[in-house]
Amino acid sequence: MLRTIRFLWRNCSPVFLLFAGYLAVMMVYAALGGGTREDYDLLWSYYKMSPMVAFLLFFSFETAAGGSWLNLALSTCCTRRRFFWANQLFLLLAALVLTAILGLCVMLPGWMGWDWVVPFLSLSELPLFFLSTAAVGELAHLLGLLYPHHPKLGILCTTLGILLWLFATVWNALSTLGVFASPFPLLSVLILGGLSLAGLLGSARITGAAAVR
Amino acid sequence: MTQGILQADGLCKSYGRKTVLENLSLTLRPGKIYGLVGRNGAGKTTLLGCLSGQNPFQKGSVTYDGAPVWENQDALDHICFSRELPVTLMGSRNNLKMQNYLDAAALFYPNWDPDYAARLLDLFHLEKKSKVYALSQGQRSMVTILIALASRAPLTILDEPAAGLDVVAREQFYRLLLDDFAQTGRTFVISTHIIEEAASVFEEVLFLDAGKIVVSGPVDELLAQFYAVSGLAEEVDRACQGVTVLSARTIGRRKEAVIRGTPAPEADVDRSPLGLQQVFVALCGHGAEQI
Repeated sequence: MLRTIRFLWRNCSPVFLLFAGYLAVMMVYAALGGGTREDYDLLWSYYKMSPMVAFLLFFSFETAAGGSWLNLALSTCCTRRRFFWANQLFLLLAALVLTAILGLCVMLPGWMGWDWVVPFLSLSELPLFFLSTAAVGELAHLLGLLYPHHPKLGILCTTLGILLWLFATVWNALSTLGVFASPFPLLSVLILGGLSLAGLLGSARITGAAAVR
Repeated sequence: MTQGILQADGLCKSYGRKTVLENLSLTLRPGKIYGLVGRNGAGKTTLLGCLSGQNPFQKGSVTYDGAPVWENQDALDHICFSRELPVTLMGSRNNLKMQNYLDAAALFYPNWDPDYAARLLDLFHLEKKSKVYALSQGQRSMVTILIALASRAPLTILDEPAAGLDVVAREQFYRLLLDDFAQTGRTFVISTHIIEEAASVFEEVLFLDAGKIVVSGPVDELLAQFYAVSGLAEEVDRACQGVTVLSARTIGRRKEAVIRGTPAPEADVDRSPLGLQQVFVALCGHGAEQI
């Protein structure tokens, strides 16, 4: 199991480095006086999009990982069961790392006294960010497994998944803005949890019968 | 790491309606070099995939030292099936680097020998940073050979390792293989089309035809069973009495036949032993030599 996690971790490290690099640039931008409510330039858009960048990077990586890394691991005589569980652990770990990197950047302006900076996420939203990242990872992994052999089904499942994911994200944003009576975005949590579970079950089924190509 | 016996029993595998392996049984004993020989589409890669737990099958069993191979990490730790690297992956070109394959092999094969892998990289003039899709077929074969040899797995399986290699590289491969075998005594299974060249390397051969093992056994014993006889038609017919005639061709009054068994000694015919390739053509060619 440890070998497989190391294998996945080694191959995924560019995603963490890319995300950390991206946020480092954004933090330099904030340190130089950016990230205020008055900013309406391109960098401000990128700054606000930081959580979305994590999703996009992770989605791209996991889609590739679904097919390629499974094939590579099985061709070096790793068992399907080990790969599946190692990948589940890895997804959790990756979501945690991405959340931690983002959390650090959310807290950094406060620590540094950059009081002009408007954080791109509040600390209370980090658990939901973590859940969203995990759901994105599961969906992307499922797409990676499905796409090579059942492209139409893969696209259908992913489109549906992304629509639900967007709905959960928007619902959460509306809850945070106080549109609803309760600030706790229960529906968002349920949808993201459901998506993660669906991705996990789909991946389990496909991985269990995978053949090396 | 100890070596065990790999056994397949009643293996059946089909893709949709197409049966690829049909009730196939075989036993691979430790410390031998096996040659798996079959025509295109005979099911060689599928069989090797099933033996190494890389491909699922519908019926039968594959065991290593009595334990099932399928999803058994303890058994799989003893097996390396180094197959041809795919040029395409997930419907597009394979952008993985050779480094990715070597890293995976180093992680997953418990006996991986990094020094040997580095020596082979130098010997084959391979660049670790090269992307797989950009490698020539010969270079991809070299990578599969490198992984197989450096894995130091007690049971090492190579699928068409000589495909795409030039004659010098093939010689180099056979020499490396024999050196490794002399040093470690591990079991090798090698599937190939290039029979004559590899024949001297194999201790035992398995002929696969239409999803079945048609013949298996030590090369010397196998070759001793087959003869080509030629002469006057009636003499050849006399020589063929009581033996299996695999193919026959009449030209005027003369006749040539490939037989399994010893030709009758009283018949006045020319008899010559067959090479492995001729035996294979006679058994699996389905009359191709008569065209």
